[in-house]
Amino acid sequence: MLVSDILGRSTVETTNTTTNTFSHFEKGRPFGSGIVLNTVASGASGAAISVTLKSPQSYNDGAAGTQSPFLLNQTVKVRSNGLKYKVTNITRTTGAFVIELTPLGAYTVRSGTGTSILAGEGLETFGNQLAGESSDSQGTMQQKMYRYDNTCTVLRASTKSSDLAAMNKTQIDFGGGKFYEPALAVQTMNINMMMNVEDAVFEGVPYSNISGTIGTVGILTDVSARGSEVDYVSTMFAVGDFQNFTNVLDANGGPREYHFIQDLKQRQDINNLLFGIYRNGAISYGSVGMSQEASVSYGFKSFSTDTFDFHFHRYKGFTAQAVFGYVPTVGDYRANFGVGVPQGTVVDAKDGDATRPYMQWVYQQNPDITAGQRIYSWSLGYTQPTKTTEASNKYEQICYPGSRTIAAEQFALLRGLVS
Amino acid sequence: MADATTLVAPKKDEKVELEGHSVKKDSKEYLFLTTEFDADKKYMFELAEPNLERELPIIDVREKRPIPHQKFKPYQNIVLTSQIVWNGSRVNIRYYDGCDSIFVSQQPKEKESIDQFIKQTRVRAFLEGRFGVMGDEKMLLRYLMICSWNGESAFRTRTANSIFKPLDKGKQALIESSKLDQTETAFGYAKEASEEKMLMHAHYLGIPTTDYDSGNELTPKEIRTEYRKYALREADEFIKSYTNKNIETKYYIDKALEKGLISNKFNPNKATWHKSNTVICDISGLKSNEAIATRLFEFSCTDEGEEFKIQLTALFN
Repeated sequence: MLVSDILGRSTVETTNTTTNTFSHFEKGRPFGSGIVLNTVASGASGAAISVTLKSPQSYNDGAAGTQSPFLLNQTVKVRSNGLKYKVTNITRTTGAFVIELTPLGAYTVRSGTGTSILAGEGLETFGNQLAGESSDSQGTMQQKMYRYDNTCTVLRASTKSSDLAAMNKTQIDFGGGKFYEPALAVQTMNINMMMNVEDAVFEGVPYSNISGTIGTVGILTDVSARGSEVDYVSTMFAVGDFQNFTNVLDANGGPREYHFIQDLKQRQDINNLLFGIYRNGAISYGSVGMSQEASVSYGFKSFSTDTFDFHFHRYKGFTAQAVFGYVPTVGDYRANFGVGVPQGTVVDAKDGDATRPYMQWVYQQNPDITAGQRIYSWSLGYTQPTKTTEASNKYEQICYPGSRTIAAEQFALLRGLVS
Repeated sequence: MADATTLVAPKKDEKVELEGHSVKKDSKEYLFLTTEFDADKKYMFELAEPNLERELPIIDVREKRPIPHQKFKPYQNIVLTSQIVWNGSRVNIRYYDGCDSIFVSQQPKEKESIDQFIKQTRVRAFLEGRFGVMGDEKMLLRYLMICSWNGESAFRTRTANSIFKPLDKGKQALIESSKLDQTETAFGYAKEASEEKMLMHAHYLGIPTTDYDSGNELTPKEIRTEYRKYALREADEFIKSYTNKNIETKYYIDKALEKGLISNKFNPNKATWHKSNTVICDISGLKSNEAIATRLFEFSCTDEGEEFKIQLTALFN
């Protein structure tokens, strides 16, 4: 079963593009923070201390380090002890942004209860909480805006059958009362094309090394780079691993409900854990963003923990044995593998009123082809409407798919490691 | 001093008892158990698998510029259980905060103790691909150095996933320094090589001797500039080929074919000296100059071809 069929339209949206390159926009976090670069001694109670911010974590513009989320007069909180300070001076030196912190109360600038503010300390920005009388304008804070571009790749398949092969009736019904060999070849081409679309969109098609072609950045390519990964020892999945996972989802602002797209081994690992804990069958059918009945009819099994609901789906596409019929012996990059896909929709950063699911299959379409026909097929040959001189028939298929992964940070990979 | 105890070093292959392990002297197990860490030093580790560079970069909308490529994923936890190959067989290791050993066989077996260890052990993770641990966390460091997830562990199993590797700044500096030395050597060769040597070597390296815009032949000075740039760019290949004597022969063969000093006009199946029609060697079936040059070069490397090589060299000197 394809991922788009497993998850349904509420998680995977299918959409069109009229241009090969398509984009979407995402906003950054609304709250800024910085990391202290070097340990600085505290000084006297109430004394202002200058701290340098670590690059690139503390900067809006990465390694260039000339923009920071800190503003003059802003209230800053130190993460280790919650003490508050006012930003009383800023020196914008490239790659070594310096802010002067003045304690709001009768205490020192420090980490925890120590006598210095330590390298690696987290500084969190708020608005001005101590503006005082006749206060004037403050600086501007604005979330970062990012544009994610992607392209549609071109998938192509062909089948050719000679006159003799096309006349060869077999004893097998290939479906729909079709007994002739070309029916099987065309059927194989259809199945291959469906899997081809799925693999291209899900895993991506790199193209930087092949000139004259354009591929697509896959869902898992983006998730692997921008999302988090939680590893566990294969066959030893434990409650702590679930908690690692929920911590990661929580830290990245993930929604309440998640789908796990998993290979069978990981599904078994998790089943072993859950059946071990809930011997009397406390696993329930979840809502899957729809009615409970719908989820039951989909066959989703669910588990809730740490305020998150998880729905588990076995995905054969990850498993070589299931798709290709052999057992990998040198390594298997998708064994004991799963990806947590957020359920629900996110506000489109470009159009504040519209919401989108987290995953989109994007198809480029020729305007001459009927709208909504993602895979275009045609044929020509000696028995086809378009005749050729050669006594054979050719069946052709083409598709232009791409992917759009929204908020890849809220996805997460779960991987069982093998010793 | 009369009371001092004389320490007798164990003989090689002699087994010694170390922390409850019977290990051979100087074996990797022995070296591992006797390794000391600097308590004030932070030992760094890095994820083994960097992110693939995105074909289309992510654009900062306000700056209208691509944001820097993120080399690693933002978060990946460290699995604190592993199997390793120890003294020739697989053993389980597991790190717990506060436990005196990473070897499961030496750790407490009671459920209460294990539960307590599990509860008190913090989650460790690679943030932006890096993880650092101070030398005073000896057991954690030992675990990270030896576990199979460490791609450079001498004890890793053959089947384990390689998740991270130690980030040895000293080792990195040594590699970089050696690369710089290589560049300096190559650059020195490129500057000092005689004109003849330079032309031969530049020919081998594929450095153009013609300005393709104007069609003019480049002067030796112009070729040397390109030659020096090549040495700076590909120091390793430059040095290796610079000292290869065969390049000279190959160059002379190419030039002789180019100038028609060697041809196959007298007999299409034989390479001959143009002036005397003396046969050099058989080239049956070969058509292109490139193939003929390769055959002649192969011939020059044989005992039979020794005389041909001498004649060829004499021709150009």
